[in-house]
Amino acid sequence: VTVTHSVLLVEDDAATRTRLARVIERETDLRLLGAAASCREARAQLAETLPDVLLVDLGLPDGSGVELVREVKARGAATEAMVITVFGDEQHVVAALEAGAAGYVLKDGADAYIIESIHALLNGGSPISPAIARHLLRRFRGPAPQPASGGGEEVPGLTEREHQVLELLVKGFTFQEIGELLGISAHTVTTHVKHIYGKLEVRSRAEAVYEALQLGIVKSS
Amino acid sequence: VRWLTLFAAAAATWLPIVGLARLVAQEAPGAVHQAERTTVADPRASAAAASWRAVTLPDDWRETAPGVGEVWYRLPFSAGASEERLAVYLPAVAMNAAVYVNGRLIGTGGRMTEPVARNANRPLLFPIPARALTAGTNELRVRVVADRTGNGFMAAPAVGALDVLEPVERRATFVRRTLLWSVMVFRLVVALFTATIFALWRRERYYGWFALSAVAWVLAELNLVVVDIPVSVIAWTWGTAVAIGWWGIFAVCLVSSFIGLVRPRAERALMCAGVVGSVALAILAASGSALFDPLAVNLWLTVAFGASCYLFRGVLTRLRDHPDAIEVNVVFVVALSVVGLVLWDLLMQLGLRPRGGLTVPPYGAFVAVVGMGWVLLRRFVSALREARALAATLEERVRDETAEVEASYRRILGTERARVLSEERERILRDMDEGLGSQLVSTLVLTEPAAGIEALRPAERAEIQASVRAALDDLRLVIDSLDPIDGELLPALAMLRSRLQPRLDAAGVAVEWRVEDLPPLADLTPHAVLRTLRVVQRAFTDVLARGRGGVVRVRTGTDAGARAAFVEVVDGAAAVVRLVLPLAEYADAGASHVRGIAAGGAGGVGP
Repeated sequence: VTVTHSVLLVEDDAATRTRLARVIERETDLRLLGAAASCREARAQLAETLPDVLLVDLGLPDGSGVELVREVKARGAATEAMVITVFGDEQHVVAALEAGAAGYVLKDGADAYIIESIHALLNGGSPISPAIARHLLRRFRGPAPQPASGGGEEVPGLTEREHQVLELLVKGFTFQEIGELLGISAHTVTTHVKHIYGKLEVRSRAEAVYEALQLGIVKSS
Repeated sequence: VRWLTLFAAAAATWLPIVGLARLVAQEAPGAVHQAERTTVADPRASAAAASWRAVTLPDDWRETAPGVGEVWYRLPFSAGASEERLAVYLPAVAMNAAVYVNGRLIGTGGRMTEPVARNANRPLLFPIPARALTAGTNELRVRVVADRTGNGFMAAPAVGALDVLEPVERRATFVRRTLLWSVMVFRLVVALFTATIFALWRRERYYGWFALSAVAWVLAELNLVVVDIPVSVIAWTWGTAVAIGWWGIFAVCLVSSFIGLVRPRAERALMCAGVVGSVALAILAASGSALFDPLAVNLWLTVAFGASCYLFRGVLTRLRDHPDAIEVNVVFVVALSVVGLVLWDLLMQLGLRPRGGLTVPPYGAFVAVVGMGWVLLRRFVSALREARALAATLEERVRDETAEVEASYRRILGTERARVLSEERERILRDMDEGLGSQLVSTLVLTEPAAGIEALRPAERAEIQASVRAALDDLRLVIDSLDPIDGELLPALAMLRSRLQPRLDAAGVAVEWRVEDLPPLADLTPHAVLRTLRVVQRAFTDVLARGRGGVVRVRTGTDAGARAAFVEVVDGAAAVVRLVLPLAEYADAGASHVRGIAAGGAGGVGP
């Protein structure tokens, strides 16, 4: 029995949307819930069913895909969000990662690459580029804002191993090569990356609360 | 040993004074000790010759004639036949004397009636006119008047050659008067100096106390040098006693403020006691009370001496706490010296020591003023030095702060510029991603066979797709080169690899990624990065275009001598391209940016 995973696609460019939809529909273990062209359409879909995978373009005519990711994550859903981007530059991707996305996929990638990325995501791995790894290293360098008076969730830092993985990524090594260098499997490397993304999400949330406290928007209880 | 040294130092200050005292105490040649005296008012007028009694000189009335205001002395002397001039020398009388030879007045020391001329500290020399002398035995009579009854004194007079006695008198006068005046003037000058310092610098009160105590001491000593007083004897005595008392008070204040004891209440109490004492003595003097003399001389002076003992004790305590403070050591020696001299003088005042000798405390003043003056000047100079150092430190700090403010201003400017750049970059990237980038991807999608555009022949389709892909690749290079790189090339190379990796995998090209961290490179502007990335990318796409699979080795590192970094892409055995980049450390050596690019590309510029 093949377990199928539902996918919701949000992309405003018709040609790309059609192509991605076609690629996903071809897979037997993936089921396309819908292909939305705007935030509004996507929200209507999400109100009905939460997909297993949310593939979302960032620049939508009526808003940013980052907002959709945040909304879905805020509902505590098990949905894995993935960003569709042309360049995969870290400025774009990191904003989505902070909102809770678990990776990104390049729009012009080959069919196999796109399907592989979705499968990797479902298997607990996350793609990453050297630029994003570099950004994350910088991001985790400073001390994390800890929740006041014990309340709230602990803000995690990077483990030694996660740090090593990021440093090797920055130098351009592939998951496979990093696995060989560190004596672990490539899959474990991608799992590390996914954990790092999780920590980034918690951290950016804590930072937002911290900043709000600093500005007096939220009162500490 | 240390205490012994200090006492020895104080004793050393006494040595010259003792020398002076001995000089003055030296008897003149021809001094006569045996004489007769009478207390009859004018023995010349009466026939009461029987009232003459033998007396041994020096004669202190406090013991031999209390209550008497005038005494006559007589003694015989023989005038030789020689032609030399004779003279009478009185080394010390209290207070004035008139000298008669054979009943003929040959001189006086000044006014003989109240207020009597004060000659207690003034040697008197009277040449005897030749016509007053008779051959053989002559009679010398000296009439001595005291300033107050019972306070008279007569030292042994000398009758002899004027040529012999004159140098003796001159020497005594120099010590007793000239030297004394000099010390007093010197003290007043120093007092004026310290008073000026105090006037300008009120915080350091001891300059003021020093000036006041010096002045009080000088006033008290006027008693020793002024012959004709402008007021009554009783008023003069009062003034002298009060001046000594105030000297004690000011000295206590001086020492306590100098050693850092701040006791304003004790100071005020002392002042009040001084005022009350002065007024009480004035009342006693004005009323002619018999209590005045014992109180003014005995009690008051003892109190003044007590004060000097108190300050001596204060200095002693201080010295015990700070044995190495040179100032305190000097002050201790000065205090010891002065106290010793005052004690010596007090013994004479109280009648415990014979009169007629040198009054020593004024000479000690020289030591005191030099010692204390040195200490105060030293403090003044060190305060000046501190102030100057402080000003210098302050200036330096202002300079530092200014530099810091400038630096932080530059930092803020830099941060602000970086922020603006980053925002602008973000905006451009967003626009490219959503606009141009998406358009290119759409074009790519539309040219795929699945898109259903049948009119395109496969060759045309491949060409369009290759062209669009090249455009996308180049856009990505541009975007990657925009990433802030902080002089690091490796992350940009890594990004290039991550982009090409899927295509390399698809073409079956294996990559040997042998990179190592590079030191910061010189002038790594986005443009320089882009040029470097283009060259490396072209090397990769050349390999891909050949479509033979195989292995591509990418190496980075520093050259021998480590003056430049290199990036090398090797296809099989031949170097496809080798880039040499100057290190930031040697940027000044004039190395060009991204050297080797001109020779880059396929074909290789092997080492």
